[in-house]
Amino acid sequence: MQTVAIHAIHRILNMIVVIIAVGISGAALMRYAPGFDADEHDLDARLSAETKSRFRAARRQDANLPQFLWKFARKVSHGDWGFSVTLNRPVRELITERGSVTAKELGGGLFGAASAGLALAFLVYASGSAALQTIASSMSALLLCIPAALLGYVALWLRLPSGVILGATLLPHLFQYAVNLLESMRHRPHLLAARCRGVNPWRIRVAYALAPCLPEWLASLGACASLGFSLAIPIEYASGTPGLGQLAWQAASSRDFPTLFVLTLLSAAFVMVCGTGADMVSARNGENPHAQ
Amino acid sequence: MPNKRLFRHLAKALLALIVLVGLCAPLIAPRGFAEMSRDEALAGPSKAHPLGTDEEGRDRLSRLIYGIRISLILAPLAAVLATLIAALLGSLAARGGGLLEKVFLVFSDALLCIPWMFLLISVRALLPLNADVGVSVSITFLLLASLGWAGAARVVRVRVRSLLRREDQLWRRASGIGETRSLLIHLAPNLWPVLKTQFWLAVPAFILSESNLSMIGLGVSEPLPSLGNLIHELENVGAVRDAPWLLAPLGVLVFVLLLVHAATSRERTQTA
Repeated sequence: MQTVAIHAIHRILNMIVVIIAVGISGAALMRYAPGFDADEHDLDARLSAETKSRFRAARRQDANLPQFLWKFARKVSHGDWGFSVTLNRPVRELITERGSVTAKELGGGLFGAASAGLALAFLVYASGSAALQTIASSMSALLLCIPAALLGYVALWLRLPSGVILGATLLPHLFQYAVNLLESMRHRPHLLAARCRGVNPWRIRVAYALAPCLPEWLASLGACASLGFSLAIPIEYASGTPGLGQLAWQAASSRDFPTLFVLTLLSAAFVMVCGTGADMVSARNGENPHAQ
Repeated sequence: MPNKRLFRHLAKALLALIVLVGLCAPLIAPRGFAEMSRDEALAGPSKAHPLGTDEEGRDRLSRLIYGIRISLILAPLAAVLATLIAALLGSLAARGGGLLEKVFLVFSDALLCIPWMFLLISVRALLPLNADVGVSVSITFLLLASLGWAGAARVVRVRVRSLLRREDQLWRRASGIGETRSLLIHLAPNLWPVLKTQFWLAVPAFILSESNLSMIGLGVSEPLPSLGNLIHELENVGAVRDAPWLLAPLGVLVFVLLLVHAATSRERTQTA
C-alpha cells in the first residue's frame, strides 16, 4: 500500500512539472514561431482597416512572453481564461460549452469501443478459431488505415452521431490490446493448473483468463482518452460537430493564441490525469498477487 | 511460418513497386499534376483520363501518381529524421544521466501528453499558412519529424541504458576502449533493431497524419497533390455512388498502409 502511495505522489508531482513545462514551452513556441506575426485577417478583403488593427493590437498584447505567462496565471486565479478575438467570446465560455459535447462524444465512443473491443477479443479467444481471428484482425487493420477525417464525412453523410465514428476509430486499438492481453493469459500457470484440475472450460475462460485482464484493460482506457481527443479533431471538423476538436481546429487555423494556449494546457492536464489514473490502477494491480 | 515470410516479402516487393511508381512519376504520369483543361472539368473515366478529371480539369490519375510520390517518399524521410532525432536524444539522455536525463524525460513527457493531432495542428498553425507549395510540403513533413520522436526516444533511452549496463560494456571500459568508439562501433549495431522497429512504426503513422492534416486544410497545399488532399475530394461522400473512381486515392492509401502493416508484422509482434 505504501509503495502505491509513494508511486501516486511521484506521479502527481511529475504531472505538475510536465504541465508547467507544457505551458512554458507552448507559450514560447507560440510567441517565437515564424508565423506569430502573420495573420490571415490581413489577407481578408472583407475586413475593414479598423478591424484588422484591432486584431493586430490583440496579438501585440501577447507578444511579451514572461508578461503573458504572469498575466495568464493571475487571470486564471480569478477564473478568467482569456478572450478569443476570433470567436469574440471568453475562452472559458467556449470551452465549457464545447467541452460537454466532446465529453459526451468521447465517453460514448470510448465506452462503445471498449465494450465491443473486449467482447470481440473474448469471442476470438474463446472460440480459438483462426478464421474468426483473421477476419477480426483484418477488419481492425482496415479501420486503422482509414483517415479519421474521412470517417467524419461518412458520419455527416449517414447522419450518425460523431461519437459512433469516434468509437469506430478507437475500436481497432482497443480490440488489438484486448487480444494481446487475453493471449498473454493463455499459458499462465494458474490457467494450466485449472485445466489440469478439470475446471469447466467456460469458467476458465471467464474467471481465470478474462477477469484478471480487466484491471489492465481499464488502465488502457486511460491511455485511449488521449488518442480519442486526437481523433476528435478531424472527426468534429469533418462532421461539423461543435466540440473541442472543432474549436481546436478553428483556433489553430485562425491563430487564436489564448484559446490555443488554454486548450494545450487543458489537453495536457487531461492526458496526464488519465495516464496517472491508468498508472495507479496498474501499480495497484501489480501489488495484488491474485490479479497476476 | 514460411507462408508468413513469403507474405512479408511479397508486401515489401509491392511497396517497393509503388514507391518506384512514385519516384518515376514524371515519366509515368500521362500529364502534369497541375495541367488544367477547363473544357474537360469533372469528366468521367475515358481513354485519355482513366480516372476522370477533377473540377479544374486536371487528370486524376496523374495527380494520384504524383500524390504517391509526395506521401510515400516524404513520410519515410520524415520517419528517418524522427528516428535519428530519437536515437540522438535517447542515447544522450541515457549516457548523460542525472539532470540531462530528467530534463529529457520532462520534455518527452510534455510532447507525449499533448494529443498528437492537436500538437500537429497547433504547431502547424504557428507557421505561415499562405506559404509557397514547396514550403508547405517541407513544413508538413518536417513537423511530423520534429514532433514525432518522443515515444521512440524513450524506447532508445531504455535500450541504451540496458546496453551500457551489460558486462561486455564494462569489459570494454576496463580495456580502455574510448567512449566514442564504444558507442559508435559496439553500441550502435545493437541499437539497430530498435531503430528499425521505431522507423517502421512511424511510417504508417506519418502517412495517416499527413492525410488527416491535408484533409483539414493544414497539410500539403494545392495544387500539389498528396494522398491526403486527394482524399479530400470525398468530402461529399454521396458523390461516390455516381463516381466510384473517386475512391481510387483512398484505395491506394488503404492498400499501402495494409502493405506496411504486413511488411512490418514481425517488428510489430516483437514490440507487442
